[in-house]
Amino acid sequence: MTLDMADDPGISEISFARPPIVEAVIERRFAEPFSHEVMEDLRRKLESDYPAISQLNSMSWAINALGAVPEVSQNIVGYRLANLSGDAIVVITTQSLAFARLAPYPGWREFSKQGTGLFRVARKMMDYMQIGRIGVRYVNRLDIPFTLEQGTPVPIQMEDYILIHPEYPAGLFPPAQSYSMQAVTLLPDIHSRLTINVATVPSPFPGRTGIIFDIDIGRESEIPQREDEISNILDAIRSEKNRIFLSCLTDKAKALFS
Amino acid sequence: MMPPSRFSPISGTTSMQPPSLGGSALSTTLSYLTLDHQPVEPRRPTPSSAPIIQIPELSKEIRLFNTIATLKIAVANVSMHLDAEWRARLFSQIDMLLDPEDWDESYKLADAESFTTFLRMVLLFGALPRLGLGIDEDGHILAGWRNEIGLLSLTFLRGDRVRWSIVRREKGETESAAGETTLDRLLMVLKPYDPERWYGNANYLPSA
Repeated sequence: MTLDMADDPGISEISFARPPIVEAVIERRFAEPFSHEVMEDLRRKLESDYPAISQLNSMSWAINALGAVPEVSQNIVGYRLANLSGDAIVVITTQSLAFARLAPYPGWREFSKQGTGLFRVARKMMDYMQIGRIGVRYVNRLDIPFTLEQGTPVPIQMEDYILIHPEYPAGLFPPAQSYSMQAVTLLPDIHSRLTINVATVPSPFPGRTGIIFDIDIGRESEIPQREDEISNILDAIRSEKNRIFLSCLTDKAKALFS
Repeated sequence: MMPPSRFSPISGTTSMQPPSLGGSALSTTLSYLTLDHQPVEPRRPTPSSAPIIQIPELSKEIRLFNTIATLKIAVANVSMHLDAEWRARLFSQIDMLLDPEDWDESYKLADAESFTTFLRMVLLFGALPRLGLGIDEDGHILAGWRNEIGLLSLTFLRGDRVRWSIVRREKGETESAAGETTLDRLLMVLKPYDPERWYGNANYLPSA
């Protein structure tokens, strides 16, 4: 298996018949906020393809010392737009633009092409805005079957599935019911920062335990501003993501979605 | 390929880098998991020029689009466990049920938690064939099968609870039964009525 197989649309059918990716995100953050007018223009431009719209609001309360009725105000800080297939979401704020693809994941080529299309539309409307961060995030969920012994779930050995897991002295306390861990480090080869979150979550699949394996890689310095150069960086980030994904999961975990 | 790395709270501390500012790319689905607890990026205050808004009442179309998207996003969350063709048929039924042209303002929108119970039934028992979907007056998802021997209908409530009813005609007699149970006991409760006789040979119920 080569690393590129992990989410390649042509090969993933052989390697991973049912990739555990629940969400893949490409995000650009801008060095300076853009105006609400630009955000509104962008929303209007996209709403034919993404007609399910929710506002992202921030709320504030002002209470004066004399005990008058508190004033509540809401500010629009962005929009979350979803398409009618329920598999693509765009989040616009005044400082960022994110394209998310939900499961079933179509593979990197299709995903990055859709993302590039969105960012091209945005760039036309925003003119030149300096990009301050480019990030790619993959949220995977492993749905691990558990068995019952006299009506009680038998503990799952996390190390059988994922190589990032908690360790604590034997016999200190009973098996943990849940956990979450975060590792943050630099990836010098691609001048990026890696954030990995691993956590147990309720699985939507009855009789299974969910483990989120969330890989985020972002570049925050020496960010190219040209689209072709950005594409090259995203490809490099994706390769690193695949290397990390494949290295952190055991064969038993991979068998769950192969 | 580099060897897999192992992290533990103890061994990790000696080589830990100082935390970096900045966050991960925004996830649109993870907020409920409270996973985004990395160091908080210093944020600029919301500019005072930001418009203060009154939340307007959403149009019928937007409410329906939002509901369609919510249901399909819930399906996406488990789509790796579903057959692609079955998923496509389910999406057609969702589109039909929530078609703005056929929607009356008095109808109740589908309840997302009821739909979650429906999806969990599908994951537990498999993609049951010949399924007709509906929405009741409280927004609960209905599933039903009808054929010459009668009608089997399920109402999906929140929290993995299911209301069921059966009308069976046989040898000139009509028998009916109904009850409420949990998802994990559903098949056991229906077993005396041979529910597979409906799945195997049913006509689609008209959408509600």
